[in-house]
Amino acid sequence: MSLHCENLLDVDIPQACDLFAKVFGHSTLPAHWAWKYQQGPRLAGLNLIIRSPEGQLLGHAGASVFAGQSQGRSLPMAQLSDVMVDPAARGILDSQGVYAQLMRGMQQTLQTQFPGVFAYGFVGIRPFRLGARMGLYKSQHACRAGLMPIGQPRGWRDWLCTAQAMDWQEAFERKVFERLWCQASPRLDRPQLVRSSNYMRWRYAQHPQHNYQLWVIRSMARTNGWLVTRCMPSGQQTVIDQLSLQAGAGAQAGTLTAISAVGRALQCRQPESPLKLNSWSIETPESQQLEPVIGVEFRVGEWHTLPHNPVFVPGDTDVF
Amino acid sequence: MRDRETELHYYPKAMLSLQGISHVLCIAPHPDDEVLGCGGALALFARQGVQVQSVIVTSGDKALGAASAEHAAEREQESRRAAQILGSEPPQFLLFEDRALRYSSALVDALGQAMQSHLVPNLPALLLLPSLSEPHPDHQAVALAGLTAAQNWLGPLRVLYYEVGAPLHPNTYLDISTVAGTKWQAVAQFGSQLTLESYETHAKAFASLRSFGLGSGCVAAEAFFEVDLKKVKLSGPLAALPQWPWVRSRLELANASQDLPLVSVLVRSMDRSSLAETLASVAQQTYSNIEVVVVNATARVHSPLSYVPAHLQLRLIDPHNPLGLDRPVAANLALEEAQGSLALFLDDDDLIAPEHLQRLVQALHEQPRATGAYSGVQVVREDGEVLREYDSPWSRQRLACINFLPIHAVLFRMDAVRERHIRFDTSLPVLEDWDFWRQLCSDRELVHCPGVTAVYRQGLGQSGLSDPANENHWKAWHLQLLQRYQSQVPLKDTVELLAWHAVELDNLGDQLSQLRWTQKALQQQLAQSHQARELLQQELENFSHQIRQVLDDKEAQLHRFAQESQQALDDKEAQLQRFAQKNQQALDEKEAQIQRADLQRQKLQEMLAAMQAWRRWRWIEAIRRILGRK
Repeated sequence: MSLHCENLLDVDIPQACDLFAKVFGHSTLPAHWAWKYQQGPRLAGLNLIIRSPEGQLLGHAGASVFAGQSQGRSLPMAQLSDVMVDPAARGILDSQGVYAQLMRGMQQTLQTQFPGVFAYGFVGIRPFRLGARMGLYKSQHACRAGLMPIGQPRGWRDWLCTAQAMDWQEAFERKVFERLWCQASPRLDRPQLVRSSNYMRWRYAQHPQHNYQLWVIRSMARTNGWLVTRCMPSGQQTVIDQLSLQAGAGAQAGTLTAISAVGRALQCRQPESPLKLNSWSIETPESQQLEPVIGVEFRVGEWHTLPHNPVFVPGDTDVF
Repeated sequence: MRDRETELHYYPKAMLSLQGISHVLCIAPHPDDEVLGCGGALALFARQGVQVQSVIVTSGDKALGAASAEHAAEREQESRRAAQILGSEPPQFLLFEDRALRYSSALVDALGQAMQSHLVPNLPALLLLPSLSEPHPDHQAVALAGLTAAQNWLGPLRVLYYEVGAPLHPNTYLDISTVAGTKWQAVAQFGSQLTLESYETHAKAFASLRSFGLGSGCVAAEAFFEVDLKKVKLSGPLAALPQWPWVRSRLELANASQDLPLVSVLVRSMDRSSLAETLASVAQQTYSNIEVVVVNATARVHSPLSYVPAHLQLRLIDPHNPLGLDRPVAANLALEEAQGSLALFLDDDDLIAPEHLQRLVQALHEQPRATGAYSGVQVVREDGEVLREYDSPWSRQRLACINFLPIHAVLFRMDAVRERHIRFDTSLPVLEDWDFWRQLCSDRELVHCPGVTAVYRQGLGQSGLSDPANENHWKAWHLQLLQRYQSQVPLKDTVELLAWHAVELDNLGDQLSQLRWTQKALQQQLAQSHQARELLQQELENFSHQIRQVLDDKEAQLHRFAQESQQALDDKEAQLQRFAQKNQQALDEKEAQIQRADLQRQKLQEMLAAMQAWRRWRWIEAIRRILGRK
């Protein structure tokens, strides 16, 4: 059977959504698909598919390319997502299999359209091992969620930081994201997507399904970061995204201080029940026992040689 | 100036006498310092029957990085075993935070209490302290606090600095050859530390070095610097200590308690949630000797201040007034409670930057005649937006007309307040601080430390000061106070004041003109820069156009070359094909020829065979043989 990659057409989206349900066990809607691959300040949304001779969708690989930066230089960043192979078409692991063809097609497309792109994705342990064996993936960041009890700060220094809930519209009007990105980006030593107003609007304010809470972080009365949380369906408050003006050695401490400040503010809303805040930035003995989601680099051309690996946040995926 | 000095004067070698001492107290920042620095001395004194006691300030629980209670317990146990070997009393542990020791009244008090517990006021005692020249910050803090505690001690006391991490400039030696083995045995107890660093080797090197010049019988010695306490008290550390005070002064480090006066931070609390942040901003000060006095100005019991870090010495003054306290009343109560020689008011919603107190204390240290020092203050809205900055140079005339000193901008001397009994005017609901500054500066000056190191949060307060609709809006009270002041000063002074403002206005006008001119010049520069940038942009575009052109040409050339090559290749291939065809044809012909020749040969052979088979031929052959013709 001769297979070849082609671009997904709009008419194929319902079929892609069906494949999504078949592969991941839960459904997605064409509207969500459109948000994910067609809207926002993206540089490109790529969707490669493979069909059977009868026209049935056998596999899909998507990539959303956004403006990113690393060490003060712009770097297009492509997030690989929804790599799906119909269960009936699995099992062929050689270079002619659906998975291999899709990956090769995506590599070629990205390399042609965005030379030097940093491509990444989030995979479980097994797909990671498979991809790593095939020379497609390299681990960048093991993402594990830890829980931080909130309400009381971890130490007196946490009091130096406060969090104030802010409406998205107000934040856009005040240019909170632009101002902070301008200050923070020259200090950021790890690759990350440009957190501009347009990106934040698309990713959080205009998300078709989820509601996100924006927090502005202040220290010495000055705004020095923001943080986004979401109350997950389980009721668990989760840190989805954040930006801090602190970089380098103090970055992790700054992150935890900001999380602590948000925790106190959240606890004020529900003083009766003790809360815990979930974040990929929190390491606990329990979190170390969890199977991580692996943030990987997807090889396009040569592997990137980065002085510092990216540190991903849940907001970097579309799952959260 | 002379070129040389004799050993005895330059490096005096007084030997420490073991006689005439009834108690020895060794203050060690961490478990093991008491043994590494002066274990020999402790053993020798113990053998003399002197009561020897060590006080360990921290338990060294951060030696492995993060604080660890297990590691602290292990180190304490090591110290106890070492004390037993040296013959001293079991050590006392003060449990201060490791690697975070600061000179503070809390530390001075703790060391003073340790002296009270272990020394007898009338009996001669020896106090051993880590040297001020030590590299470890905890050692320096203990050296300073220990020296202050020693200065406060009224009994007969000798103070010796010992060395652990770096050689000091000694003036006193002790031959420990007879107890060296005991000292190394005690050092060996600190197994948890010996795996981190070769402390034993270093201590032995010190002991060997210090035996130099003490005679051939001496194989190990300890060296000390004996501090002349009287001299320190009378003339200060510069006169009493060797070269360290100069080095430390150059690094803006304190040499004695005089350099680190107690600062009282006075907080009038309305028990708001912002208080925690305010106190955290005090806790992060780089200046260490601070007491915080929080006066509960509310009518209710104040919330517990459980979030206050252990290193911050804080007193909550709760007057239990059912009506609460007005701002000036609360301020006066705070003034009465303050124990420091310097004080700073900090409202419970305001913030000070980490270096705020250090800068102001340093400014007052350099200007002993000034009654206070102040820095710039940024006024921010609740949402973090900066509204303005107060950072004007000092001027009594300016203060006479307007308050340009937010209350937490000023660190002031308490002696002036105490001597002249300066208090806040309790009739003023707002601007009471302006009136206070006017009193404080009536005969002395303030020092200005330019630069913003404090934040005033407008909108969080409840005084109504900045609300035009409120009866306490500053303008109304400003007018009232000006009228009051005007009635108190002679007309001549008022005229001078007006003249000063007129001149100041002129100066400001000149400055404005200058700034406008500079702005214009900068705008021109900017325009030129824009022009230059556009030119560069144009050049860049031209260049990239040229590059693109060259690239296109090259690409076309390459394309042509590829086409030509392909053509040549095709031609060659066709040629080769023709040649191959021709050769094949020739080969076929040759093969056909061979086949034909083979056929002919076959026929001839057949003919020959037929001829040989012919009878007449056989006869003719026989006749030929007979005739000898064959």
